[in-house]
Amino acid sequence: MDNRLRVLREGAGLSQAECAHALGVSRQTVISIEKGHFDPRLSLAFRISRLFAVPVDEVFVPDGDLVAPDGD
Amino acid sequence: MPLTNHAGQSTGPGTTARWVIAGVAGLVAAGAVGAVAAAVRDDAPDTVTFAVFAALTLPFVAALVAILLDRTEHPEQDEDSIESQWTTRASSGAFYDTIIAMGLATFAASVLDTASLPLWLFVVLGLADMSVRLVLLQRREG
Repeated sequence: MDNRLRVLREGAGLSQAECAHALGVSRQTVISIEKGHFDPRLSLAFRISRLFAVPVDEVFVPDGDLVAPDGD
Repeated sequence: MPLTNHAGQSTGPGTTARWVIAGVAGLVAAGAVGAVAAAVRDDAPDTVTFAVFAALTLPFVAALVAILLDRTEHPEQDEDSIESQWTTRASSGAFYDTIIAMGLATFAASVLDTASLPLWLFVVLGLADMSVRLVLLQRREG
């Protein structure tokens, strides 16, 4: 599963540590999600979507479905 | 002071009460284990056997009961953390390795007609296996 966590986090101006604190997880967990090593459970996925005020399916997408933003 | 959750509600006994309960449970368990060991084992004087087994049992049981009585809600949700997943994966892999090692050792001991290996050896090997797996996972995915 791909995800846009890094893009959303950087867009919100949050560091990995600040994002981890807001989500109630370790910084290593945020790093692992961003690297695609760790697919979170639904509860954490919804906490992430709520933190960035976007639907879950805008954060997590099936492998290969991630579309690069225009201009990238 | 009673423990509270995020809503400020009491969720269990206070810290002092918790440790008193844990201490009493530890003493009872230590006395029972020490008495059984002293009655069954004959490799040392009963008083020594009782003291050794009771001393080793007390802190373990007290800590276990104290942890079980702890109803503090922790902000970190373990099931959401990568560290938790690493531990689960490492222990799962180590479990299979340990079962296979025990099976092979039993088979070898049977074929060679030698004395079977002591159980503690597999406990040590299993823990070492899990530690190595945990370090490798952290390096590979951390």
